[in-house]
Amino acid sequence: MQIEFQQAIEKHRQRVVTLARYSLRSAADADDIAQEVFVKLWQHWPKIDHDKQLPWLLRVTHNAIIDFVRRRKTRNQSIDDAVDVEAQAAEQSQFEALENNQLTASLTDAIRQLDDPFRSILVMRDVQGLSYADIEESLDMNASQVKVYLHRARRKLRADPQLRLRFEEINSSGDDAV
Amino acid sequence: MSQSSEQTQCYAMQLQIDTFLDGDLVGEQQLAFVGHVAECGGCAHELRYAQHLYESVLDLPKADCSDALVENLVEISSQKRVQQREGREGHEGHEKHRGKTGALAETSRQPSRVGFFAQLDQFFSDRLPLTIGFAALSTLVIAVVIVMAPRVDNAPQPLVAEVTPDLSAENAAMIPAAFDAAEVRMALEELNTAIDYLNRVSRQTETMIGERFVVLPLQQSVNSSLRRASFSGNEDRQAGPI
Repeated sequence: MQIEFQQAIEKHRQRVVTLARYSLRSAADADDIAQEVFVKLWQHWPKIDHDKQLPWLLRVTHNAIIDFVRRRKTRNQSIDDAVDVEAQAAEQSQFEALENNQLTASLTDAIRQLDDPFRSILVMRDVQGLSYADIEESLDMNASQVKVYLHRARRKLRADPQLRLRFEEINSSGDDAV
Repeated sequence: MSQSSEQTQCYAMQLQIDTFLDGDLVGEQQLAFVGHVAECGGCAHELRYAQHLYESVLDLPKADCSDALVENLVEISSQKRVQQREGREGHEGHEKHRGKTGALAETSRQPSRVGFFAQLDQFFSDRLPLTIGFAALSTLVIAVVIVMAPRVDNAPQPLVAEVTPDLSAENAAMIPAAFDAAEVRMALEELNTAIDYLNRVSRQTETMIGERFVVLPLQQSVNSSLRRASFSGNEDRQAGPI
């Protein structure tokens, strides 16, 4: 059981953390969410249908993120922002190095500003490439609902002025080169 | 075609961009969409923008947690047996102070001891409430003690063997050779006479003590004594000067 649990961590850690990371600004908060999720996995190990382990993990992650955001809203926002800035300044991960790309940074910010479930579905499907079946199972939706939310999420992203500005800059520079 | 109808058609086509990008647009709808994009510069630009964002999202980096977090989780899961034992020793206190580690340990109980009594203890602790388990275990111990204890006849043993008046040949043979049957019979008769005498003395003593120390004569005796004393005292006081 312990070995199977470790295998489950290795198999799903990236998906859990990615969903948390694109929902929260701080990597430390995402790690906290991941720890909370895997602790719950261990606690409920005997009761879980292990054929649906990934949807279960994604659902717990999704709920944990919602709880975390609610708790954070009740705290002093200025202190929270300061903590986030410090945490971001301290982190030098590969993830953040990639974020330094302007379009990637704008895209990540735009995704974080999406409401749920648009954000979760976009991250699950487009960022992580999960199947519709897993998304439906994890969010307790049917296929058409998932697709409607996904398309709306993409349209919301395209409506972001920062992203459009970045694209126009890239497009114009490409035209100049031609 | 009027400008408003063109805008309506462009809006309808742009709503299908995501379906097209997903590859779900087929048949006539796909042909209509591709045909419109080929003719409409605005929709073509919108499609390029949507495709660029879509590919950018697909290329977004996947995040991962730190190795320290994974090690911590592995350590927590490996400590479950130790936590389980601690949890049994001080269940109430431990529950107040337990963290995530303790909660983990509680969920996965594994029997760590072997043997019949360990399994019995495991059964009682897992399947039955504490009080019922304790009561059942106590009953079991008492039953074992009763079964294993040596049987003792509770009837009092006579200190002197009962001797019947008729002495058969077998009984006579069991009597030691120093006493013959006639002497034994005579001794028993003397013993009975002595017992009768003691009983008579006891009854006389009881009667005598009862007659002498009954409450009424004693009370009368005390009252008469007090009366005599009071008369004599008063006479002395009346005679003498106060």
